[in-house]
Amino acid sequence: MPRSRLFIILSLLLVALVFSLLSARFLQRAQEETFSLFSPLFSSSAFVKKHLGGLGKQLMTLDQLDTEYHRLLLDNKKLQAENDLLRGLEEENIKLRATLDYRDRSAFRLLPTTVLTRDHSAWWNTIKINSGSKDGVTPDMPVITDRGLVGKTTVVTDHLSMVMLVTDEECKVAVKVEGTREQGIESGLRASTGDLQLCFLDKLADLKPGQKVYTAGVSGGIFPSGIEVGTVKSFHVRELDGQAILDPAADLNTLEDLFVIVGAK
Amino acid sequence: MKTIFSFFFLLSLVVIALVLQDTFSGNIGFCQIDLFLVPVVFCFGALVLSLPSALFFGLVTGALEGLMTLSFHAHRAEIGIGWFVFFFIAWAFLLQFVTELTGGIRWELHALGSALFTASLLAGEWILISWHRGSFSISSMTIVLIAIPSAFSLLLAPLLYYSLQFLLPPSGKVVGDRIVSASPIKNRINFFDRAT
Repeated sequence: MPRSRLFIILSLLLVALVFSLLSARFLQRAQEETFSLFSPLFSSSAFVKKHLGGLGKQLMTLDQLDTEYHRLLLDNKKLQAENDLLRGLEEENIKLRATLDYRDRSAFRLLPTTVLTRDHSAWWNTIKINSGSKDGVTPDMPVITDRGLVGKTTVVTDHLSMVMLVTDEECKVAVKVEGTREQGIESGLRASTGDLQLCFLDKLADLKPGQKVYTAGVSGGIFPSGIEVGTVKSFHVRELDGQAILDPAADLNTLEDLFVIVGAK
Repeated sequence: MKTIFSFFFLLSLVVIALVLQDTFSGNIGFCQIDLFLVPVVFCFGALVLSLPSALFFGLVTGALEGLMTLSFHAHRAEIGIGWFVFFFIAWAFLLQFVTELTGGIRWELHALGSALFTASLLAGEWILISWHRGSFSISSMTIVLIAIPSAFSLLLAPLLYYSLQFLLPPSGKVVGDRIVSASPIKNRINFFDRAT
């Protein structure tokens, strides 16, 4: 082997060694910079994918369009009627609140966002969303859909954030089971089947399929109380504790529109 | 000049593959089964380039793949980027060595290399994660999550191989200090031989 080649190989191995000695903080910063750099590419590919996916759906025959038009006309009339009714109720509600000097309940500020990409890794369940620190997102913020909990933010750049899904083994959430006093820790599975596991339950816990599981909202935790996580599929007793398998509340395979809980109102 | 262009062309393909595999992962009809395109592009580059340039290609691709894949928990990375870099460089070296044994680059070698590379990358990640988390629990889903992306790589590799035939230099052309084979399957793009 020529000396120049040997020199190149040794130099590359030295560089690889230097890479392995980099600190986690430096790596996280480097990952944020890489995501920022790739952000326009991810946005473009997500845009193309969205439009490619909708291409077939948008093509309709005249008969289908006519049916759709009449259905929408009917829906519109129905919604107008409901709207009038609700407007009346809203006015009544405002008057009653004023009479009782009622304070607004503490609610959360939700930031609407959309999914850019789903990461290709087999062992980590993460997605990228098109909101970042410029929109008020910081690491460890809960992410939800209208159906339930999705996960939490991890790496945040200016216009893009990474979200660790509840199906990830390292995403641990304190939860409580509806209609019982049972509390446990929910997490994903390493080789994810899409299900969740709920561990550290009482071995004598009386859990039945279909029972809903909500976030417990422990002090110092990042997930507020009362967000639906999933429903019980099965329960079995292990050596030291009880374990339930859950069906996630949010459909994590077809995520599109999400909300980041950026704070309280 | 053409060799430098080829090197950067392959690198840009890696970037495109990184974006595409993230965009279309989990959307191929299976439950959370992911597409791996980078291994297919990387194996082609590692076979076509000369040894030093293939190793350098491995270093850059490994660093990029590592940065895109790393997952942080409590501000700690489960797998360091060094592992990805070592892994890619080792595979670049291995593919070059096998090419010497088979007497040239063959599409079968690229297909098999891509599949084995994907399988070993996923298996390696699984072992490191299991070691880091302190529990080794293998299930049928673990096997599925390794086998299906590897099979996809096996199927995709020939498509890429024949699409990128134009990257090979003309038969019998002098590249650096050696003459490339008259057979297109034995041709190599030599970046460092010219640069050094």
